[in-house]
Amino acid sequence: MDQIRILIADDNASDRLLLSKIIKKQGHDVIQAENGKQAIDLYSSEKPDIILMDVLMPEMNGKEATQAIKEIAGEELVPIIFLTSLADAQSLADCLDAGGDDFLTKPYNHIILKAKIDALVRMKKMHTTMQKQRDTIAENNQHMLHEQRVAKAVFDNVAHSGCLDASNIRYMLSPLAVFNGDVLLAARKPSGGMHIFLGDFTGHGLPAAIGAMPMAEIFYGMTAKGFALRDILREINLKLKSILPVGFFCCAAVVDLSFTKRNISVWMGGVPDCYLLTDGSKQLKEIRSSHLPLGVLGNEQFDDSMTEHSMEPGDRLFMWSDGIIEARNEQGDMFGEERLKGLFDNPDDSEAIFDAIKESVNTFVGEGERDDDTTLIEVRMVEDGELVQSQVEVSKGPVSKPIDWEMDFKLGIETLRHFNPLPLIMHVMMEVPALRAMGGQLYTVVAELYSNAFEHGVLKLDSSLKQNPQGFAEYYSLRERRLKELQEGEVIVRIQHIPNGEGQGILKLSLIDSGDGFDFHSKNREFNEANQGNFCGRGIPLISSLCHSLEYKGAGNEVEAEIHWPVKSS
Amino acid sequence: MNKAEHFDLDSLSMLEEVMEDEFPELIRVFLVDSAPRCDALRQANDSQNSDAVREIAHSFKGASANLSAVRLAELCFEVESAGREGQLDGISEKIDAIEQEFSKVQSILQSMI
Repeated sequence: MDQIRILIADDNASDRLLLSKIIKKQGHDVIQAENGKQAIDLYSSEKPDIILMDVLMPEMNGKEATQAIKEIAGEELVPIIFLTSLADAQSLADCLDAGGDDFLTKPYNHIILKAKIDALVRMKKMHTTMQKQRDTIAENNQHMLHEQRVAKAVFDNVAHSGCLDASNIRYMLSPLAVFNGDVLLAARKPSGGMHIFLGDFTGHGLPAAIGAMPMAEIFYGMTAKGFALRDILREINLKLKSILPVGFFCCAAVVDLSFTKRNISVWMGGVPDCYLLTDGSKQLKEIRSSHLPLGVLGNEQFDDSMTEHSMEPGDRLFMWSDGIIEARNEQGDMFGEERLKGLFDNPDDSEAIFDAIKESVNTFVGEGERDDDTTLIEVRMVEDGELVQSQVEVSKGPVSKPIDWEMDFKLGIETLRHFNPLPLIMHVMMEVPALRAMGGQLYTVVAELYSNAFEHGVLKLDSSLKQNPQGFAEYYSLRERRLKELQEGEVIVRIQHIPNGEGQGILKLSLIDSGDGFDFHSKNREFNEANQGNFCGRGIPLISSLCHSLEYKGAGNEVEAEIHWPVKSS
Repeated sequence: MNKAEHFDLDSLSMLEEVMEDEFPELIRVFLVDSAPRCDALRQANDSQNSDAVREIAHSFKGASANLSAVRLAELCFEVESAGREGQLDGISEKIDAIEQEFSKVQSILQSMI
């Protein structure tokens, strides 16, 4: 047993002498008090480990002194043994009630005293260990909450760059300070549409936030570079599969929204049904999850097929995480799908459905505990062009001046057959900060020129076929066949960037295909006329408003567009 | 003088063993401490202060018990009880008995050092 310090409080000098002799022989330190008052003072100054306290003493008796010392000690455990010759049960009980931990009756027996001291030392050690562990737990908990708040803040920074504030979106995220596993992302596509991502990670806090961060990065990064949503889903699935431990995954509802085609493509894995509400006839269409969550399957088994649904302006899509359906009231009942669907049945005012859901869930939960995340989003189809294309923030890189560079990107037949080069080309062009702001328009130009070079040049398809529906179908079956049979051919993409004085530059984009070319004189004329405002077809006006010049060259198999920036806004 | 009439002999020898060379010191402290207690008891009795009677007798009882002077402790206990109940009638004879017992205990203890 380690050496400890024991305070003896007794008014009998002979008793003190006897006790201190016994205790010293056991190897402990002794300090002595002659009355209750002295005992309190010595406790404060000497911090003894155990106190032997006589009951009846002058100045202040043992019970009063015990109460005072226990108060000073607070959380510290100071075992107090009452020294007593009191023999009746009530008096002994009174000693324990006054805060004593044990008692020793006179005449003292040194064997019993040793056993009691040893027992109390064990108790004190256990108490100290327990307190240390409690403090460690409290400290760890503080630490964990802090880390989660930091993770949440980092996540908010990563995820904020989206367009959730677009005028056709309404959303609700539960306001927990700690990351709760729900993710809501929305981004404009360079081609003008929108990608929306509602995710629900298994778990809360750090494990969920860790998966959410690369996911948001991939979603925003790939969307901005013009990747198709399927490719983005594959990339996210692969990333989550490789970084998340088994049993962790992300349920998701993902939407590719096109304002021009007025439809949505939806991929859903492991999330509750979404509702599509038509504006005119107030019909409700349920869209059901048909996939496993993201991060479960390897990319060979991963199914990226999406369902298409047409949406007219004013039609709205409602999506939610299971937190809405599983919200519980004080009795422990769930809000449930029935209640949710009931809100759509005969809404007094269908415009108010979003608020009605919010309010209904809040009222239902009442004072009940909010244990899950309640995420809700409403997306409305709008007329093409109604939304302002969100301005991409031009961040200044380490090189602020326009720089000179040039690249040739040659695509052989295998690449042409299987690979969409547009995201890569966009990525290179987006290295010029000033061009980022017009990524959407640039995308349209590159897409148009590339598809011309590839389809008309390499595959030798006749564009005049596309004038009627049958021709359209024929065009695409022909395209499919020629793509399979393709034996030779190539497309060269040449991009050249030339500085043009302070804050200005020229981007030259050339596409050279291996095709036969065409009589381009009329095309060049078209462009010039368009520049005078006489031409009204789609695509060309945009190209003309963006490009300083557009010229077909050679046999017509070569086209060169020049973009001068900053672009004068028209 | 029969030691066994006044002391618990087993306890007394254990005490001697525990205290080793400090046994004489313990006896001296006990005797010095206890000597004024008979006078103090008598004074408290004269002034009919039953609380004081009880406290002094209690303390004397504890000290005697620890010295294994069982007969003395018993007498003190009787006085202490009377003090607790506030019944001081006939106490002075008991105080006399305590004084006589103490002087015997004193002689025995002194013979041991």
